[in-house]
Amino acid sequence: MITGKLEEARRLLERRSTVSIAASLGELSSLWLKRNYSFRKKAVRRLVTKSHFTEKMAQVLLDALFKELTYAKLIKLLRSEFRDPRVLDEFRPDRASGVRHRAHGPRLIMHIFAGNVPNPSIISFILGMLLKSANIGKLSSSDDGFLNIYLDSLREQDQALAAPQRLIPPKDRALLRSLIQESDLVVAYGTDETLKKIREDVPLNVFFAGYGHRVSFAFFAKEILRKNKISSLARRVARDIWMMDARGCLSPERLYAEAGGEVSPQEFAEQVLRALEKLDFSAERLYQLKNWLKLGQLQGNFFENLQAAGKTLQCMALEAGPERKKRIVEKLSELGVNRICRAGAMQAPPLTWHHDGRFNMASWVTWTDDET
Amino acid sequence: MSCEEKFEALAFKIFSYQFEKNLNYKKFCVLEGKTPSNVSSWKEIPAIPAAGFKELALATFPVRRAVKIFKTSGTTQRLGPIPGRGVHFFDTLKLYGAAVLPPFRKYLLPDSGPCSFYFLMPSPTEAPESSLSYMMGIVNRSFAAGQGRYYVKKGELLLKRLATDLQNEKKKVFLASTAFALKTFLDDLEQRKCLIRLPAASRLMETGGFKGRSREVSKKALYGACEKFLGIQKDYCVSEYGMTELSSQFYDTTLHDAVLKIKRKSFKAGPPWTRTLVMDPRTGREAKRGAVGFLRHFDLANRGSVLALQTEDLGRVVGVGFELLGRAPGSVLRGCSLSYEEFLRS
Repeated sequence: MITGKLEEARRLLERRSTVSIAASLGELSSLWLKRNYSFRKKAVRRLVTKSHFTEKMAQVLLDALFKELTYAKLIKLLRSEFRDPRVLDEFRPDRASGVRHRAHGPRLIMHIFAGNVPNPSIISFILGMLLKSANIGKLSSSDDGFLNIYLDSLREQDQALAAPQRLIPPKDRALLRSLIQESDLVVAYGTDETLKKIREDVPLNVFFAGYGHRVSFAFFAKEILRKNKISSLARRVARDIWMMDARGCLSPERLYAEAGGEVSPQEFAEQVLRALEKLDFSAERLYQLKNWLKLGQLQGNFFENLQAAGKTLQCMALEAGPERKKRIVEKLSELGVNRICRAGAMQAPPLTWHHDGRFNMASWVTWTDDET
Repeated sequence: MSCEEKFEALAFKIFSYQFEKNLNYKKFCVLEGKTPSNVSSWKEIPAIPAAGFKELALATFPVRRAVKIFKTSGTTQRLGPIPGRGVHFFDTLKLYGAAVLPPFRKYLLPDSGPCSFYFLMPSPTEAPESSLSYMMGIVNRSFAAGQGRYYVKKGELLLKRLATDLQNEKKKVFLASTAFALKTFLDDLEQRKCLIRLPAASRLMETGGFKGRSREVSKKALYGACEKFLGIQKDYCVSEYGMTELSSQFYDTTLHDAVLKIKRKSFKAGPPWTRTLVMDPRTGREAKRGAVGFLRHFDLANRGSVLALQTEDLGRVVGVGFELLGRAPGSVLRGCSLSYEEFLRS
């Protein structure tokens, strides 16, 4: 059985504390944050040649990713998801319920990745490793990102941790199906259609976590569209568009500027365009974005469009005066937006973000409650 | 009046009509700073980005009066808050039908003699929203008296039946297929070690069904396999280029040139009521002759929607037409998953 060796390696890993795993991963992240780290250089090359990011985009993307994966941030994440992360190592008393709890990660997690942006594949594996699970990944055949390079670097850093991590060929559907049968958890990223089909292959007793199509927006209220603020605001939103080359689920699909401020929506769009022109997009992409901005000016109602996006709502960059902000935030939350941030911060979600509006690892584990 | 002058006069007339009747397009033009009163050449008529067909109702008539709606496959459309498909409304199909035939005859039936028609795609009744199926239905009625056969039923490719029928065919064959279905058919023939020798002068019309899929196959390899497994010469393989958002189609000149013994590099040509410009993405203006850029089509048969369309297809000017080079690499603007690899289909 393919999982035999994997299971052996996982059992060895189970003896380690989650904190020691976080420490090891954090140390690896500090290596990845160095520009001349050999694996990082490889990843940059891959992102430029195969994923068609510009080099600058690739560098910024890696910095933003690994800055969120330091030891301190990983511990913060574990605290935010489990309160007491040691439940992953041993039974721990819980004051609220008066019961002792212990959480086990899945023995085997099957991850199925999509090809638009590379970050989720790295994070997904890291979450699995923090749970001491064996992880198998199926990358997108159109764009496989750099997870394999990351795992190579992990092998140098921490062989025992790298041992129960595997990648399978992207096109072997029969293999994928049989592995799904043996998994405890299937984590899938993709179109709703893809997720639906994967889900059909997942047996009832295997937990399924699907991360489907999501859209993000940016909103600028009239009171902040002021002449002296406008160029810096435009620069920030341009950066949000630029960082994932306008193709991530946190890339704004549409910018909404309210009419009636000191600066009109048209003027603001002009400013954004000028800011976009200063960033190193490919000429083709910039041309597409110009068309996108043009089309955007034709469509109207903000809340109507948000409602139309329905369950796919993800992140909203919000710039508004303090009083209205409060009300808008409330309304957005009601509509199902799961992250609200400032313009310029869209592409740098904290690791603790409730991705797709839910706990991440906390929903992946199974609990044992000891009432005796 | 020269042909060019006639084209321009009609283009202005249609532009004014659409500017008047199509509010969304009018808004677009006003934001572009172009109106019928200040446009001095057909090249200046504002081209709506193809994504506009997904996000806006682009019609010169109330859309509830549409007699036909064509939709894009969904894999080629991006941009916009709601993943959806481009929609093209028609208030009449007479113009559309009339626009299909002359270029089809010129580039696929330039010779004479009886021909049998095979369509490796769903019939118009089975795929009522597909412009390709509709167009092939017109071809079937006009050139084959409705006797042509379709080999996609309920989403299934009837490959074995097609192979058997082709093997028994005595007349020269016209085979139409999407590139994707054709590849599947040829792979199947290869696997079964089945070599079909179609009658001389049989021809293929292939259309870019690979858009948005990961399995890009080079045209050269595809046509090579056609020669090997079907006995269709490379000169008799014609690539059709059409878009749901347009009413006219473009074709390779290969077959036309081979039959009429014209020696030149083949290119994509459309009927006289179309023009194609290549736009330089850097300047947003027309590219220098021979340089690569985004294709912008002007199609006077698009009377009920918008006559000028800006695509995200890359190409360059060749001869009196253009050459299609596919999409810009990594060019997909997307929400989280609009064009995720659909591995289950591969």
